[in-house]
Amino acid sequence: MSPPPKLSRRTLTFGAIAAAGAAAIAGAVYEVPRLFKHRARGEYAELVNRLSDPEQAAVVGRAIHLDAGEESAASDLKKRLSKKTLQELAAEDSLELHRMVEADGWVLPLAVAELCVLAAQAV
Amino acid sequence: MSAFIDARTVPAGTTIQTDLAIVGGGPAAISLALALAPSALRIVMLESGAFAFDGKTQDLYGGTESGYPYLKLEGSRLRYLGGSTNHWGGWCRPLSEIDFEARDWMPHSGWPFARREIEPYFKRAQSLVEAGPFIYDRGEEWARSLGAPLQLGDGGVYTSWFQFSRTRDSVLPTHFGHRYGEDLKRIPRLTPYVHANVTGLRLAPDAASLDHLDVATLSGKHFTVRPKITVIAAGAMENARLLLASNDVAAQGIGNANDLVGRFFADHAIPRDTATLVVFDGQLAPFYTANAIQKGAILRATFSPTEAYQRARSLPGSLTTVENEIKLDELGQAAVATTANALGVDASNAKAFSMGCGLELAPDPARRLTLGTERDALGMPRLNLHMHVADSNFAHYRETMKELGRQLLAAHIGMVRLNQKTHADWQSVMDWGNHHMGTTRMSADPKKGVVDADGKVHGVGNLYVAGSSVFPTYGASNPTMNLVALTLRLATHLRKVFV
Repeated sequence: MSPPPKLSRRTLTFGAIAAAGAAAIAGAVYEVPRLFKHRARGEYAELVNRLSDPEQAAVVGRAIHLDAGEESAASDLKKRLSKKTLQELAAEDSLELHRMVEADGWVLPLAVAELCVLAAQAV
Repeated sequence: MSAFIDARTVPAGTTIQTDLAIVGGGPAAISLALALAPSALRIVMLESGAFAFDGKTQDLYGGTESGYPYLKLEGSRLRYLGGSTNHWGGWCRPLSEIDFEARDWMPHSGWPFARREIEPYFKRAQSLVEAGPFIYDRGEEWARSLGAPLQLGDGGVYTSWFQFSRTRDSVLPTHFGHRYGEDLKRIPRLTPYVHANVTGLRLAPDAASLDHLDVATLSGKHFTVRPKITVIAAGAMENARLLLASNDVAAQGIGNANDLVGRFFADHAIPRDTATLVVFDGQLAPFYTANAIQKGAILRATFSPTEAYQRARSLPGSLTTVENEIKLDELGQAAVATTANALGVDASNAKAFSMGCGLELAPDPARRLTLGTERDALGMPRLNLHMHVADSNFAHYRETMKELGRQLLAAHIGMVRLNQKTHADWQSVMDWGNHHMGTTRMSADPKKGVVDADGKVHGVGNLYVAGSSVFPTYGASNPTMNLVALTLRLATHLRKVFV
């Protein structure tokens, strides 16, 4: 039985660099679109990006009709979010039945519903 | 002691004299006979069927339906000893205080007495339906070892508890005929007849009292029962039919001077998949989705509107059950993930469940039984049921479920989807409880009710009605245990009358 062939240090170094490069390219191909995919753009982006997943919110938003319209919702939300976090607003809305909004039957706090509507415009 | 007598063996033309005649052999009739067992009264019980289902006897129930889709009249009840307990599900829960109240926002609502009038009879009724210890208000404590109810916090909906008639051997829940048949035989002065169909309630010429009952068998025999007092306990459809069809002296039928007999028919609407319940942490105690057997009681948790919330929001009763686990669609998953995240809650283990409900319908005079033109094998006019269900009943229920959704969100533990919205939506998932009620409603005022607060037919001195046909408002609770309690109250009254 003959001994295994020896690899030179140079070959090993090139191999390692090539492998790392391939992994970086693969990661970029996968991750970069994901990063852009979840960021909202346009006039409501600043509001909508407070959500962890604007794209999922947009799915919900497309099932909601707000009587007051999007501009009014955005204006109200800006005011409310300047003083409180989304978590605080969602909890606050959940204390009042009239601040519940339906999205194809799903009962949501008003602030969440409004953000979802804006997400549907921004994503 | 008297064995059951087959009415087909009674010589034609016989007249049977008795103190009390009980028409029917279902839970009301049997409860009344058992309650009066210690008395010295001679009692005749007249059951149309015998001890098992028989197609020809069952066909006597056949009729027609119109209006809102409903069950076949012969398919939603059973005509043999034990009556509809032969196919009941065993669900028990006493009516609430609000169910007895006249509410200005619910026209035609209210009993002629408060719940406290019937309360002393609940425990005995619970015993007769064999539902174990009476712990409706202590379900949480009773089932603690199985898990905790959802902590809904302040709001209009709470976790309420059903109990169940027990399962014994092959008998699923207590079938009154099977369970109490031997007990009836042991009552000294009770003579129970089978195959005995009452085809007419015959008034005295002045219409102020009942003179006798016409009885017929499918084999062609006819005989007469002449009681001092009669209680008709044949179910909410047949009670009305007997009163309407007995129109030889009172042309509109007995007790029907104000055109009320047969009106206000009610059942519990039990639409399926009314809503979806999501629990963010996926933890739901087992007594929500299935019956739990615990320390001699069979329990099931449901969601109900509180009485205070019903009053504040003008809502009828409802009892919402959690059914099977379901998978959410893309929108559902997005709604749960987005909402939970906004609330700062982890929903990665969330589970979703379909819900159903038992829904109280508001009293409605347009929901009505009338005599049709066809006749059955005994010559009795068949019934027509005109069903009418206002969409407001469902809108009110939706409001209750929306409140449940709000409470779950406020407690950061879950959320709700309201699955049905339009008239067509609700109709597509509709089912019925087979809980016939309301057709001989009770009121102290003869212009508003067929029977008085004791169950006596207004204007007829010796004719009473027992069973859920006298319920003027229905609540969301299943009627069997409640009608048994009401019948036990009637027994107390009759003992006084005979003294």
